[in-house]
Amino acid sequence: MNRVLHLIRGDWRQITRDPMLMLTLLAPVILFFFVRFVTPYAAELARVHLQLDLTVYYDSFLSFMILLIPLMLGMMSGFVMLDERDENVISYYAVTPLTKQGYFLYRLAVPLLMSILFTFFLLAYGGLAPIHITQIAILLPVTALEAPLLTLFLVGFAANKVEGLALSKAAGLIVFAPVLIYFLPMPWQLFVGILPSYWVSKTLLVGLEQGASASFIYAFIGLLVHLLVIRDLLRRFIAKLD
Amino acid sequence: MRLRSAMMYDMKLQIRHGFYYAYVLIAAAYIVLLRSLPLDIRETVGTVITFSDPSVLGFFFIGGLVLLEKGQNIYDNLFVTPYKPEEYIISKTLSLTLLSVVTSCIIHLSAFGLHPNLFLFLLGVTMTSIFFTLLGLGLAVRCQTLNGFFLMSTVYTFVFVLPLVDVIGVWTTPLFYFIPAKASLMMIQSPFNPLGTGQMIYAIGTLTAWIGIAWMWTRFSFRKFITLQMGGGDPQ
Repeated sequence: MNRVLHLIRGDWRQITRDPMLMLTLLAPVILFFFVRFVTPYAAELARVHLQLDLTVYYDSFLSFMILLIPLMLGMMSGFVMLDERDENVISYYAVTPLTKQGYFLYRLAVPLLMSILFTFFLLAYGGLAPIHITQIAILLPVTALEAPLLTLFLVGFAANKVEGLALSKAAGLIVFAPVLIYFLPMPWQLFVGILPSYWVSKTLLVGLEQGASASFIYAFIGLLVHLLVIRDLLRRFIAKLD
Repeated sequence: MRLRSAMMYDMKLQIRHGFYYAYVLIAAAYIVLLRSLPLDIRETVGTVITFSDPSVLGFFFIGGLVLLEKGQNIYDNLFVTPYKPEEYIISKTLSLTLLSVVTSCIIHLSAFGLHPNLFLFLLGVTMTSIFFTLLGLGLAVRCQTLNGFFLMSTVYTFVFVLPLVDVIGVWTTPLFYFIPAKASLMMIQSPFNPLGTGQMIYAIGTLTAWIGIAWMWTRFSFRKFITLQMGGGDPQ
């Protein structure tokens, strides 16, 4: 525990010395305010000027926004790890009492925990759709696991930060999962299920339409998919390091 | 000659780092998305997409390229050779611009078919990409980490992309005419809203002027943060 505290203290010192890191943490906060205040405002503008009712798209909009938080946080942590690997800092951490495993756990746990926190705020106070607390509880684990999955995807496949950028561009396509849910009918859309993000959006959409208990099965399968993919990526990454 | 081989090498590097593969996937996704939209919305969404992704991809990627080479201390060795920083900047900028143009062209042709105004559209993408890649390069030499670069980039690009709100019809002001993105968007939109001669002169002139400013700023930044720091170890 003490060793992790060291790392937290190091990061904190970094954050206070470099105000930019602090601002980086603001990205999810800005997203929250965008959803909470700008969206209803834009919908109101569209209603008055264009006679368009955008509120019917709130559910699909939310199923898209919910993916952005773990996407952003997962990639930020991935970029930090890529920077640290390019500069050979990871080998320094490895010889401290923290150990290499401790370092990975920390870099994966931070986006996970922060995703839980920010996703909770987005769902509970985002104001786009009334979501019951049970529904939030069902959604949180599968949504938040998306973050470490993306971190591992970046560092597992990218040889350096430049490849990491190209991969992050490709990984950004996961936000298309909710679009595919709309365009593909039910048995076919299960093929999209190889994209872990499908299960996040599906759980949310089914939950909003049919209630929390109907969405549970999707959350459960999603959780399994995420854990399996994370296990594979972790193996890949560890094999690459040694 | 030297510039040409430098550009070839930069392109090879970009292919090896997966830029082109990533953009095959991204272009495919955009094409599917655009083709599924009704034609009247498709034109607006197509303009927004072309401007905000393929046209400015150079800005995004140059951050990683510069930070990686800075971290590996490549510059110390690179610029003791006759290779000039100006050639480095041009080579990086034009090679990334090529990817912008190819991607935009494929997306546009697949979603809208062949237009007589394609040349102006592609010229718009080219000039936009050159401007934003130069801006990204000047910014990247000031940064130490990727996240730092992305954060600074939101500050630096915020003003430059403001005219987007005009395209989606939210708000407009004549002041937008001073911003290069206004000219970019007019040219990228030209297959749907043909430009008059005056508008064409305005758009090309504005972008040329901004590219000139960006070039001087980037060259200055490069000299200050790279050339003058060389051999001195840590710039801080």
